[in-house]
Amino acid sequence: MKHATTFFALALVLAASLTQSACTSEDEDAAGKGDLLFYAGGGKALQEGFPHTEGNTEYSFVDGWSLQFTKYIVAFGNIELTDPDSGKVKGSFDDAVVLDLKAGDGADLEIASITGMSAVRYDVGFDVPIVDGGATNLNADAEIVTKMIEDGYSYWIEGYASKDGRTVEFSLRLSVATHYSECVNGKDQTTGVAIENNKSIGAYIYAHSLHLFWDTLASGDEDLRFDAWAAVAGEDDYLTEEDLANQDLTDLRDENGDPLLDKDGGAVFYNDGGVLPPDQLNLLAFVEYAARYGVHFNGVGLCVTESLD
Amino acid sequence: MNLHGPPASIFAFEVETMTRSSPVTKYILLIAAMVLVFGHFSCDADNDAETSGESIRFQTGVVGSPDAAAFTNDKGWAVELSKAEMVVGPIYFYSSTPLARLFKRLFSPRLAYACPAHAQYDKGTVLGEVLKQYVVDLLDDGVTFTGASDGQKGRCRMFELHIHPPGEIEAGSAEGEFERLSGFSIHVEGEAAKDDAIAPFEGYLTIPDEGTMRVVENIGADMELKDGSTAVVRVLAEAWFANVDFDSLVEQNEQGRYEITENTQAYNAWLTGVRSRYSYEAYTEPLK
Repeated sequence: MKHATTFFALALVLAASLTQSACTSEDEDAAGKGDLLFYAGGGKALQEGFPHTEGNTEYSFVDGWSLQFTKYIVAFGNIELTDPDSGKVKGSFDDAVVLDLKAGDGADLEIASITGMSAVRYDVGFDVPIVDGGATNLNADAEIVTKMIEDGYSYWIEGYASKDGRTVEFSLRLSVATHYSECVNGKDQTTGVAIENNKSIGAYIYAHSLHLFWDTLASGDEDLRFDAWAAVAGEDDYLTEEDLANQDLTDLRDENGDPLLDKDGGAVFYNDGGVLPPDQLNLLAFVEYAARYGVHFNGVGLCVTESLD
Repeated sequence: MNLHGPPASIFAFEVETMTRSSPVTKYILLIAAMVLVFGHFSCDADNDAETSGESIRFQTGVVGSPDAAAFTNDKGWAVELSKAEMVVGPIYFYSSTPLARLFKRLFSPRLAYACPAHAQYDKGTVLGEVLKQYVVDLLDDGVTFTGASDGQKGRCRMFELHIHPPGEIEAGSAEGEFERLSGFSIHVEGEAAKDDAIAPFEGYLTIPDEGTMRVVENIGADMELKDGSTAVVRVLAEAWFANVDFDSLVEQNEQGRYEITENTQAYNAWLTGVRSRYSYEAYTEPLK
């Protein structure tokens, strides 16, 4: 009887142990192995600027500006593939890279690979961190990267916008460290990515730059505008993020100090979606918020987004 | 190894085999059978954990803020409101996230699916709701009750308000009450003073019907919804006016009150305040 009890207890322990391992590894092992290569890019907006056309849609500023980027430097890191059920990290790229998505005519760049993964589906997460000294510079201007490290930026974006013979240069430096997780795959609207046996699968982090210029942080009826930006550029027509902080969203003004009007004579309204605190209703806070939400997975797959500040 | 296959038939075979085997074989087969049984349940455990709790029925209400009658805003104006009424509803109370994952994704304004022009807040389970619209006097100390809600027991970490014009949603208040708002969603009246300037004012507001502007989403909360409680939404009318500069008002009505008209700073700031998630809060109180 004592033997029977001992064996029964042993059986329970072994059963539980085998069950656990079966649930977490056997299915995965049986599926084979594959690799995941991560790329980053900014698509046509970085390659061609505004206006540009994708499919049947033209992306242009409603207030008549054209715009080109000359630099779009951003850091990516802490890429993780996690078990969709348990959240356990199954594969990762723990380093950070900093790169200029505009360099090389805006072609997509490989930023990381995670190899030897079981050929199953994973949730995808990653960070846009503040650049630090440990980040690998893939192709960005070294002096700018040094400044980003010194001053704690995650984005360094430069470009120029033109309208009616006026050209405004802009240099936008943003500290918006953000964690992205549970990303929807923009290719097929599933969550995460499926690794295939004996294959290298490509995945793509998309810097959706047009978010910076939308006039809403809420749903629908978004327009691309630059008048409110240009109005605070000053006489030198050189615009920085500090200038954007001077544009009051409750009292938008043009460069002459008059109410900012649209082409139909109505007051321009930036819809913050109710998310900005009452003491941060300015264009810089608006753009910072938009920048956090302008990063997608495999096209315009959306991710759960959390500030790392 | 398929742990989700038909365990019953396999188990039956193994039990039959056990009756004719050695003791060691018996225990090996017993272990195998237990793996099948444990496995069948354990691999589904995570899914089951995300189901919501028990059904409940609770009351709902809306009330104004005790500070709304007199306050000083961020532009330095001392404001006294003599009227502040709004039409509100529907209201949805959310868990913010499936209950089993609260610790992973506690409510925060930072948590939303990326892409604000296609905002997809992670609302979780609907724990309760007000489906009709009601007229609320925001200067009345008492709670305006907005009906009972059937829902699910749980911690509400987020709610949203819909602010539509009268008539767009089924009326919860008596029809006659809506007439006070003259077809608008909000009516305010009061006086603002700063330095030597005194500005009696009046405003009617209907939020533009663009996108989801008439829905104030993603409002933080932290309250337990349970049977017999009342979930109360507090409207902070003083927060609506936080950034209003009454100097921007120029048009006066027949009563000499400055009207908060479109294309003024006051209108934009008021509209932004009404749309702000920081202008509302919620709490529960025992059923009265």
